[in-house]
Amino acid sequence: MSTLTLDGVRAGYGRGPDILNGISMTVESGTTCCVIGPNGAGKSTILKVVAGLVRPREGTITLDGERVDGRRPDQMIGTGICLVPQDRSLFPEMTVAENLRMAGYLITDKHRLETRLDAVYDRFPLLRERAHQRARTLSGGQQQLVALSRALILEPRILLVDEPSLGLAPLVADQIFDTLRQFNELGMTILLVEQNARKGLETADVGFVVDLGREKFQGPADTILEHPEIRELYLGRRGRRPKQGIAP
Amino acid sequence: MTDIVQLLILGILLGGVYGVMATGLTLVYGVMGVVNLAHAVVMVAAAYMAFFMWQDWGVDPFVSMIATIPVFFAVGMGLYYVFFQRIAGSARFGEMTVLLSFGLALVIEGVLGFAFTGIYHTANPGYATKTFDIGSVIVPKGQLYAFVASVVLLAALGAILYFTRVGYAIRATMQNATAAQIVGVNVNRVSAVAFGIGTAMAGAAGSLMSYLFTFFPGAHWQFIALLLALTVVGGLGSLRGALVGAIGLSVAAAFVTDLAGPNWSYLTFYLALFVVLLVRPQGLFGRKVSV
Amino acid sequence: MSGQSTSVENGVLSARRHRSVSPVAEDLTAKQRWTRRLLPPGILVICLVIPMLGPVIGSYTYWLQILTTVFMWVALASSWNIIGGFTGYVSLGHNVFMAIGGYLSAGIFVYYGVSPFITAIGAGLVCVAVGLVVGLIMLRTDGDAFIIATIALLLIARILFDNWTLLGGSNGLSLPLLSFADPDLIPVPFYYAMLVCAVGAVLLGYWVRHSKFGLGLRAIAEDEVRAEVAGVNTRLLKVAAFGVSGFFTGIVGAMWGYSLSYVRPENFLTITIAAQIVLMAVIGGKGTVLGPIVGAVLIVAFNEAAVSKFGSSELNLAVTGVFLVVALLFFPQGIVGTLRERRRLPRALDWG
Repeated sequence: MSTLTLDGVRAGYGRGPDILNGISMTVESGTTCCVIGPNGAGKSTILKVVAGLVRPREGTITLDGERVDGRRPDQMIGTGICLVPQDRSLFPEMTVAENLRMAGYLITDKHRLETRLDAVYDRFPLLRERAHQRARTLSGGQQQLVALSRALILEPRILLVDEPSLGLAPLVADQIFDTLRQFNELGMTILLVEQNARKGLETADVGFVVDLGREKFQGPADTILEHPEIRELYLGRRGRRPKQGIAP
Repeated sequence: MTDIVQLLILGILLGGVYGVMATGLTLVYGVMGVVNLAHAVVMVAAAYMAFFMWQDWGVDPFVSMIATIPVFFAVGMGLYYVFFQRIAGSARFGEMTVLLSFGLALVIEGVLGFAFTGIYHTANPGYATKTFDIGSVIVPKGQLYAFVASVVLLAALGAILYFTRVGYAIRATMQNATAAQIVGVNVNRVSAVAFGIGTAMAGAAGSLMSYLFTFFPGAHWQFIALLLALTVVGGLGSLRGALVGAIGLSVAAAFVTDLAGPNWSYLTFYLALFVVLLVRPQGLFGRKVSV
Repeated sequence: MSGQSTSVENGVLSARRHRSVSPVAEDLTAKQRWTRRLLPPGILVICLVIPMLGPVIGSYTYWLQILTTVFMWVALASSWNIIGGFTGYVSLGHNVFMAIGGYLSAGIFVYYGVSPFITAIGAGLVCVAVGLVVGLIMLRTDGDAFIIATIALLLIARILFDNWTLLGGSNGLSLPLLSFADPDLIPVPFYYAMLVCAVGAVLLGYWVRHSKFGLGLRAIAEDEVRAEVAGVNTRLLKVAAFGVSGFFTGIVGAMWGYSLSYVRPENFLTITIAAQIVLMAVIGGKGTVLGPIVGAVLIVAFNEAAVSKFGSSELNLAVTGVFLVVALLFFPQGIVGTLRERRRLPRALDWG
């Protein structure tokens, strides 16, 4: 079980103002939850706070009832939380193979690591092809694949993904979302932040709308897509689906 | 023709030693973003240690490394935990660490001066003054041995970085500290170890320094400026760059000394620094400074 | 309508108070306002008058020289503060400007007979020019490379002046002494010269701090990337700050050389001097106007006490380092900065 709960979390960067203003939310075990909202709403900050990169100033974060806030990021892995940051955060000079091995840094059982590495290569033959290529020479989509594969190796209880489609061509982004769906089918709980609200919600079970560091609305992903107010505010003018062939 | 070969050899031999000094400094910068101005004074302290081991117990400077390396590894980790970890989260980290290491350098220099006075010292094992004569090329024994030792030390560093778990963690942190944390690396502990390794290399370099140079408490300023110059030339944070810079500039300095006299040899390093800042601020191997 | 503007004003006032740059006029009581206005001129008048008190004070020349030293370091630390404190670019070789000013004045005096009192300002301007040119090269990258470059600059200067035969090489230049009827009066012109430098440097710092220029510098110090994005011409401002910080430093160098009656590389171009300047600014509070003054007074006082007790210079160096380390670890804002932060700084002394 891996239910994530934030309760009244206030957080900000350095000595700066609060970005999150007492936000509360719950991500049910086994679901994919997509956080949407305008720029500066604090979406990425939610993920960073859960991952331990930003310390909450107030409030609690619990995973299945166990407090996980205030820990260092490297301790978060132990609790089963894995973050895929906005900039992929790979090791640029290391090869794909080395990046994946680094993902298994904490796995002491060599056999287990090898098994998981094989699983990754089986699922993404592309990575096997490019195993000895330096990470910084990969395309955006390939880098994203490597970043997500880290999750497969770590087998976290909950996966935090920050803007997976950022900088990717629509077709490539689709593949990434598809991969996330596969992960969810494997039983991973996913908390996802996505600027492309429509695409993000399509992949999710639950939608969560955030503005000015507070939760605004929460509900099943398809309901949110129907709700007129939310559509107007966050999905574009009038929220009408564009006709075929017209750019959104 | 012989002259050029001669100068090349002298430059490369000394460059190897500078390389050992510089990679320790670069390692610390790459992992923690700290410009450690106390790196050279630690070298001098190690030189004193090696010197007294030689003078009082007859221990050869190379053998003294068995002591200087672990001692200064511990010193490095100690310095990290006592001083640098404390300011790890602060807003103006870069500036504060420079000033902090500057202050530490003053303290160590002051203590060395107080304890040992300003008398110039240098160890004098037999090979320090002997040479190999190959044809018309003179190869100073002491410098050759130092070069060999440097190669061994650098190889050891490479082995640590590329074949041990800790080394992987260090390289990962150098390349992307956030990503390292995400995969479970305890960046704080890695920083301490990196600082320890860097300082240990300074310790080893100090053992070599004890007979290669004449040293006194205030000598470290020349060295730190030289080392910093060549790390900037090579690209701050690039280990490869530090090595290339060390050997390249050392060779250049050898030529300058031959042409213009020893007074101007250090000038080579500083001028190279300014030229690099003018032409390619990120150094030879550095990545573009993200502004 | 007026109600609205009052609430806007209140908002602005409370924001300014929160940022505590300087007390807002409306905030102060009449007494505070007068103290604030009269305190600096008051101190100045006292300083001006001291030499004239002559025979009334015992150990007259000693006190004159101590105060001269204080003024000198106040000028140095305040000047350094412009680049090191306001802009956040630490210079560890600032005494290069002292050497340039000192040698220029001394050289002209020795070869052409023009008194340094006349050439000092010119020397200061030359230092500004040098600072601008060298700054253009050195400020191309981030703060780390700059710091390294300043150390290199110091050592380059040392090598250059040590080998420059025209300027005496490592023996330097000897200057003729001032001669007055009463030799006790010799320190007096230097007293006033350094006082002028100190006042000038502090005023310069005050002006910079409260100007748009200073606002830009502070933005650079806080977050250079964001400042650039916000439209601040960081390169121009940084270089200007570096140049400006050389002005009084050079003049002090000229005056100091003359007061010593010699200029030598081993006097001007040591790391100890560079360290002292930085230490004073940091301990006093870099980034504030009053900070360097406080730092200079404290360190000069301490040095006097220490030299009479311990004497040896190595220990002095170690203690300087200890002070710097302790200051950085426990009150990085310096005395004035920390007091200001804890709102314990008397309004009269909050100069920005």
